[in-house]
Amino acid sequence: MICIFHFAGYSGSENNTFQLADSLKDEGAFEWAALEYERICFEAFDNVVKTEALNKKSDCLLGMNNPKAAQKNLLRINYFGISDSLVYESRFRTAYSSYLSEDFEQAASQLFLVDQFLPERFQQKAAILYAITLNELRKWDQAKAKLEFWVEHSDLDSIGRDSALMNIDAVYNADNYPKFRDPERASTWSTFIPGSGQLYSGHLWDAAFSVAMMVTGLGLAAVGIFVIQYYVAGVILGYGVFQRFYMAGVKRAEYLANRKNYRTKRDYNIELLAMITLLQKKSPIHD
Amino acid sequence: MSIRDTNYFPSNVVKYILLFATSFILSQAVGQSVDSVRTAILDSVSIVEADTLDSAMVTQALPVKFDSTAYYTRELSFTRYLITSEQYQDALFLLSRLEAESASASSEQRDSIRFMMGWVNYFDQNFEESIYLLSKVSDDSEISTQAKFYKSICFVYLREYDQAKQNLNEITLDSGSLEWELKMFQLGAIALLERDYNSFDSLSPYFSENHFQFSIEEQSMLIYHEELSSYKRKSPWIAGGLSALFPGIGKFYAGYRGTPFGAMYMTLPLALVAIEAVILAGVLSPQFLVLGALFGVFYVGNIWGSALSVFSIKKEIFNEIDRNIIYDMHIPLRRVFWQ
Repeated sequence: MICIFHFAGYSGSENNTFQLADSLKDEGAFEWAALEYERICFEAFDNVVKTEALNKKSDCLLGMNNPKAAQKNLLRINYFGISDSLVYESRFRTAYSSYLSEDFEQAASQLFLVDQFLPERFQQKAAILYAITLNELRKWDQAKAKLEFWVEHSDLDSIGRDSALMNIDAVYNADNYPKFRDPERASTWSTFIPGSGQLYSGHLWDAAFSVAMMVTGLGLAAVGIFVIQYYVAGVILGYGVFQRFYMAGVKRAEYLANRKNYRTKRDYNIELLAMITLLQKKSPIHD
Repeated sequence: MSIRDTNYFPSNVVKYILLFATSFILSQAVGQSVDSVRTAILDSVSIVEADTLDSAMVTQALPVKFDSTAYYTRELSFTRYLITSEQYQDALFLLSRLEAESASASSEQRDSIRFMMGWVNYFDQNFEESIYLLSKVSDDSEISTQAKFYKSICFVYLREYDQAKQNLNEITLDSGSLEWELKMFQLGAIALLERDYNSFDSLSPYFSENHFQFSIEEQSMLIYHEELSSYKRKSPWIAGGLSALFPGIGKFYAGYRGTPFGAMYMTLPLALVAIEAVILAGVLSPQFLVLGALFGVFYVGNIWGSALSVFSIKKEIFNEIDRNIIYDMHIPLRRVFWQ
């Protein structure tokens, strides 16, 4: 993804404020460069310079594979008195770092602000990141709309555009949307009918094992009561085994439903991402 | 007028050569590696300082005139900003670079760098490293008092109270001053941590509660003293006896509220099973011998656990108070020395 979403370069300040930090960054000395950008923030009075420094520091932190730190750093930006392009760069970087940190809500909220407050050209540039973020949030209809918007504003010719729109339509077909399991429902099922929650989550063997262990517990109780006539021992041992597996089964059903949902979403989104990457390659963002 | 006819020639030529050389170095700066840029700037500074060029020209030619005092003051101020904003790794990175190039720094500046490195490590909970760095601050430095206070609290965190006291006792201060009372306060707190109530009683009269930086903590320390010295441990015999009568009750008596039910949950069903075995198969039956032994293990274990629980709950309560004491030792240091 990093390859796809290269950030646009800055026009940059005319002065030499960034000279040392930039050269450090270019040399790959990210830790030192980040420190020098932080120094610029510390010393600068101009919010534009501070914002540029924070943006560049976030690039260094991303270079150090630390998207969480980059996100935290970017969330310090004060958006007062800066140009639209710098607002866009900052919001986009924040969204990108948030996406890499798997904070999809934050990413979506930053991109929403781009949509609300910035001109259309910026919305078009942010559309792909917005679409894949919405995919993660399972808002596929909105993601589809974003991609269509992006295609309509891309520099593809009419044939390429139609083909891209058809691709989007095919992949984002409501019939193809993955079906998710409700973890709460899985848990409820297992509460009333042991093993049914696991079946609902699509795990037959898990359900069978859970039921078998509970039947063993009941069997132990039955043997104790009816065969060897050790009533108390039978009940306690049988109940002990049954109760352990019953409670575990309820929790396991919920866990399995969540795991199933995660995998389903991941598989579907990988498919979508492949299509989006292909689209993006056909019409790369120029800046 | 011929150039040779004037006295202007030699000094001006040297100036132009130096200016050209400096400009060339700066023009190369962006394209060069970082170390070479820095080295180039520092080298050019040393050349300029060694020469007789007038200061106005130097200022114009170089982006930074190398004034080591101003340089380190600025860097240390930036370090404080990094620490305040909890960017400890950045602060350490900067300080280690400063230390590496501190050959040109004065001894006071070197002490400041080491002190701040110790300080950052203290905030980052690396107490041993912090002690090592703070120990490198020279005794005749202005910040040696602060360094010793911080070193002392590092030893407190490491539970090495003798070392902590020794560091505090090495500090010479005017009686009645803020730092002197802080020292008394810290020594009193350590006495509490050591449960040396006599020492605390001899130190607590110095708690004037007049300094806003730690007046609240002084009051708290008196409360902790009261709590620690008045704590009455429950009897392990009674706790064990109660658990012998009914499993879990001894732990309830000791002060636990959740674990007694755990003890009952395990022991009572085993008791019922053993009773059933003795009724159905007799005392000497293998069933009873096995189940009775199993119950016996849990039963005796529960009694033993209840007897020990009076000690463990005391330890938990005292540990909680110790944590509060150490926290209340830490806060005044920040207030007194964080300026």
